[in-house]
Amino acid sequence: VSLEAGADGYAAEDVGLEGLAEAARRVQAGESVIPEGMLGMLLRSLIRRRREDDAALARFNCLSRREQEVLQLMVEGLDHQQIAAKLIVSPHTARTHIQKVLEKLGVHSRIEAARFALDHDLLERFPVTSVAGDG
Amino acid sequence: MTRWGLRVRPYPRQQPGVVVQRRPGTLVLASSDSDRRWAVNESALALWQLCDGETSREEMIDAICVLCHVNEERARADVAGTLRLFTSAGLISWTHEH
Repeated sequence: VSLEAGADGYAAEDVGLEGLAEAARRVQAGESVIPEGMLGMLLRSLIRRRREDDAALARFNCLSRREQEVLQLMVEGLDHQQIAAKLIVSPHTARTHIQKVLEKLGVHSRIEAARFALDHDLLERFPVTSVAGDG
Repeated sequence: MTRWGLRVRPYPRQQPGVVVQRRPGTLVLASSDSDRRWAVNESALALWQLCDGETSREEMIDAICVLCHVNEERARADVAGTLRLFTSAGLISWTHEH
């Protein structure tokens, strides 16, 4: 994850101070530092994460704009009554939206849904614009 | 390659019977069928390990760009060149079943 986020190198914990200094020198020289024997594992891990993100995005894209907004409010920690108030809809309608979001994301609770969104940076990458009051 | 009018992307897969041998300072891919051996570097070995019949060339290129901080053109050329060598050495085959 750190390399995906832009880190220039990866040092294993057993590398020692000298190894760490050498890694820092190489990074400063413009190289990306990956310990011997770890490149394959890191590539595989990165590819797996990309696939999971793609699958998560496919599920997120199944949500209507209103449901995406409900997901955003779940991430903010609002319960169904607060969501209803925020969206200017009835608590029953808010519950229905929440249920749809859970079904479409394949999760079982508001907390799981929020974690799903956060784990895959869905709302950071695809910010939801407010559509309050249109049901 | 097309099937039912759709473009099908092939997936590289390791040939059975090829094993990795790690010796001090040397990495070798060895075929148990033919006693042939190929010395490879860490990058080539990493790419060979990704040849599982399920990982596409595009996924490999994308991951290498991110991990090794190289541009797409360079990663594409490196991956294509290495897979070509693997293919001609009989170390991988290509599958269209996915």
